[in-house]
Amino acid sequence: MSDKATQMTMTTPALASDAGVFDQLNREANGILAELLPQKLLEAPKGGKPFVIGSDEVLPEIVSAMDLYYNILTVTGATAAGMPDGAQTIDKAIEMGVESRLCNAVRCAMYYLYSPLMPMPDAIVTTNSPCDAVDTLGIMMDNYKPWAHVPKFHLDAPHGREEEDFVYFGKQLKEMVLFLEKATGRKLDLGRFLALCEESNRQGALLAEFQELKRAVPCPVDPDWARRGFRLSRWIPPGRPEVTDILRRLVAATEERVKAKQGMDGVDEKIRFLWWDVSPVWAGKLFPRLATELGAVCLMDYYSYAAPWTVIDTTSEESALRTFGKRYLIDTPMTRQAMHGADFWIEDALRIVKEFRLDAVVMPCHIGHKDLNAFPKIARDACREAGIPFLFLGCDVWDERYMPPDKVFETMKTFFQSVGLA
Amino acid sequence: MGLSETSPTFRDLARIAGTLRNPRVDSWKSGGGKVMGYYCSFIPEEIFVAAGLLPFRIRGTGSQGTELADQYYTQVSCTFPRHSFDQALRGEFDFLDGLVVGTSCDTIRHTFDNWKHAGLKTPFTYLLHRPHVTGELQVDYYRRQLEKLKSAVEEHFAARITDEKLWEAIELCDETRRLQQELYALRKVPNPAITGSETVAVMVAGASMPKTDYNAALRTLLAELGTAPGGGKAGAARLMIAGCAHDDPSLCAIVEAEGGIVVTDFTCFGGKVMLESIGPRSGDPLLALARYGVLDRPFCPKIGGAHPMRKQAVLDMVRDFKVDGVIGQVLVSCDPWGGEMFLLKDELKEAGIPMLKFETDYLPSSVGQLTTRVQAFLETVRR
Amino acid sequence: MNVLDAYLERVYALVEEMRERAALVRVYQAPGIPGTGDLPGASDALARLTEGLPIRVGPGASPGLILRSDTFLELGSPEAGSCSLLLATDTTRLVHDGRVTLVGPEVGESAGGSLPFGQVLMLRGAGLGEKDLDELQRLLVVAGQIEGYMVRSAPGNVWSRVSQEAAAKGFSFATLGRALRALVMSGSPAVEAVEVLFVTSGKADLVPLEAAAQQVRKIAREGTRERWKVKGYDIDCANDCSACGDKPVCDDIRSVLKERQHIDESPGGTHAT
Repeated sequence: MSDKATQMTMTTPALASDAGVFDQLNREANGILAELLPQKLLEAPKGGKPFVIGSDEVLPEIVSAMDLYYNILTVTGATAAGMPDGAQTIDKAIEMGVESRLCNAVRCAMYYLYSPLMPMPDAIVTTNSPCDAVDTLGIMMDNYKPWAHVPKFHLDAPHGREEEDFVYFGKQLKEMVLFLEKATGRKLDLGRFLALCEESNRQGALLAEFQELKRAVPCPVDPDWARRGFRLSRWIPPGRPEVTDILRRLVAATEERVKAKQGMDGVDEKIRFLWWDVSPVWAGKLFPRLATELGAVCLMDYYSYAAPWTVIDTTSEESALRTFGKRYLIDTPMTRQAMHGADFWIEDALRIVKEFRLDAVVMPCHIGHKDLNAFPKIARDACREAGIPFLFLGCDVWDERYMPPDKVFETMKTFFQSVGLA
Repeated sequence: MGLSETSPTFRDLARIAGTLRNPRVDSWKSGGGKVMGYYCSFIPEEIFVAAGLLPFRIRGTGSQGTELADQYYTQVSCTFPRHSFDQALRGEFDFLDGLVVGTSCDTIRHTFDNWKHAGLKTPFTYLLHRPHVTGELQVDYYRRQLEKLKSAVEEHFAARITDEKLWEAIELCDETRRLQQELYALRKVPNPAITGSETVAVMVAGASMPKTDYNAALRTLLAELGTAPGGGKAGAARLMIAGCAHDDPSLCAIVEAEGGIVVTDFTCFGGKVMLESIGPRSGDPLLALARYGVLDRPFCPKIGGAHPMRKQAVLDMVRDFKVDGVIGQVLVSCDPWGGEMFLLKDELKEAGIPMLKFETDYLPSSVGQLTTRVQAFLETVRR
Repeated sequence: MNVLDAYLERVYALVEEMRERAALVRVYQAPGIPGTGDLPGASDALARLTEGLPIRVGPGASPGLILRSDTFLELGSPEAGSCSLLLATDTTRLVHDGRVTLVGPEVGESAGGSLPFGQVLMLRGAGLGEKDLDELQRLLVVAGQIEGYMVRSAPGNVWSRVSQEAAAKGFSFATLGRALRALVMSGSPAVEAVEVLFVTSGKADLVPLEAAAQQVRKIAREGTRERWKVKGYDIDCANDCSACGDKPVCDDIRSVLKERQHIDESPGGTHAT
């Protein structure tokens, strides 16, 4: 992998697959994902659409159906941390005097906010999900003085996962729509909204299909395609037919590799592991090395386990919002893993290990994830009980200086050797 | 001469605050009473009181370290839950008959998981879903969550919580808040008869003993303080502490030893719990509790849309207590309070109020450094 | 008495209701097997329990992946609807070991199709109850253990595929039921009997099952028998019933239990199922 590609982990896959169709898919996907680069994000609001900024993903289908430009500030921060000058951005953010162990993606987002680099929004939507850090960012945005006059809306994502929680969140989404209509002067075009939901359902189904193909041993393509697919369909304004087309071709091409029992090029797959946290921005310095030197493939992380999504019930606006509430609370990466009890996180991990024939669970435990840092013993005990090798790391997924990729590699190598996998 | 020397009532309250299982708890238990532990300050004690239970706010008093809890948390985790959970693992909370944890911050929320996983001998455990936004929809949601909690408590403890009992409990707890407000009001004078560190002890005791006993003790103490001379130095800098789980009088003691006087606070064991009240009686008591928690007192920084209310509450205190400077205390790794202090620092500066912000562990490890910083801060605010 | 017994009764009642609505109901019976307690080891047990099946069952029986192009039938997709319910009891008269009931079309009748899918596994064993549901649920992650059958990664529901090859070999719901029974019984010595219900008749038929499944998931999550004990013949829960969408289900269960109490207390006593 080239140095440039290594630095651009957020927009390029960590491992090359075969030439031809995958190269073409790669180019097309990168072309679209480039919209997530900080500079592009900062320029986009100048396009004339009302600009809405949020602390976290809310519902891209809604903002797109209202023809709004939506920026997820956390994503901007995370993307900035993954850029070649990410470390400097983190350092500048630290100088601002935020709590010393706040997640660095959120710190970078705060830097963009306070520098001030972000254009003036027309409306602000904050949510307490998925974690304390993003919640804190929302409160920063909410009380950022230059934006004091900007209309604001606050979503309360409940920690429960019962029907009443989905209904509760759905009601808030309805209120959010009314708020956005008032704040931006744009009406929700119901027809367009439902059409976007249908497209979104199609994309979700394709991602779910791709997800299943990762069961094949050896894994046919870079598993990270699932994470890229998620970003293509959720972080880029949704409902784009060209994204659906990329996903369709991705699934078809991957199926061909499965039929040919073809694994990733240059990888002699021996170990399949779960990285049960956010994939690090320095993944390009770790995962390819693990794969090529040890045959250890990271099959899944939070964002590459993005399927299957709850199908949006497009019978009516109400039903769509209620099912969106469920999708948001249960299916959204990070929210799924960080908002619920430790048992939910563990059940997912154990099930994925079994379904995808994994050999080990790695708990990276990003230092900014206060939730994960509060239950390492429960996770370890559960894996031990299930007979699954378990490794706790303790790293910063946004800043390689905390635990350098070389050290992570050595730690993982020792672990795989000690449990007899390598 | 401090209250420890002059007031037996204060000595009793300070003893209660200085330990976990205290004589009032023992006496309650020996009479057949049950004790309900809880994290954090927004949990409505009224439901437990109405069920005939003794509410006991979880803290880490007496902890010397986190060796046992460190299996359950990493070093990145906030030290308040680590110390209090360590105490639990050592059996210091074995007297609890129940535990209710609220969905406040991520670390506290998972302390609920750890408590269950560790197999602690707490017969009843419950996770209360608290909204993180202030608004009418949230009141409705929270009311339903309180209804569930009430049902669970009723079932487990074979208690019947009627509306009448709930209103009686609300009135009792409102009385506690009113008496605490009176106590704080005594500190508005130039030379208060009670110090900041003494106030911390009085407030912490309030969440560790039967309310009726506590209210009686507070009445006695207020009567004593009404005629007592001020204990501080005239002209001392008047300070306020803002922050989270401030249940240890030692921080105030450091400030006061250096010549300042802590006249008020906006903390989870102190001033935050006694602001506002719920009564008078009107309609559905659970709805009243929900409105109080979500709309009237959204003082936890995990509640979105309510920072302006928190800021105003701090500024009101600054004005009412003639505060010269604010000490912002953040427990290391606390994202919500870290953000809150980041905002407050600029807001207080704008209001012309100096602020000293420092991050500390639950058991401050570097008292010397802290003392030096306090000295420097006092220099900037001293009249 | 087990708190889940009311849900077992409810499942039986639902099958009867569907039968009365003229739904196609088929009942298969697995061949008799010796008591599991006599079985020397899990693998032997598995071999005996799967004897005569047209497909292999057990670890490594399948690569765990069926491509779209190799799919004969898809079950329980998000569009078609899905529901999964696991019940466990120690009440002997409940759970008819080896019985597989199918409401709706069979595999062979649905080439190239997509069917709604309800799966109810009813387990019996000494001391089994709601406290065991979480652990038993893990046995049902059958990835790669049933040849020609793939359960997709859809937590909480069963979304699955039957391969063309398996269909050609005669894979049916009777096969699937026996395979599941074999995997559960060989995986947990505590399980003495397994009965299975599949519903493929329509999305609407899954609604009452899903309502029950939601309640059972809550019970499983609570995990403590005390919280969910049966008081007399009332099912009590820690929720605000008036606000709960599942109230009708609980009301139904209460009425079933009351009816049973009436029968039990009548001369001649215990009713047969």
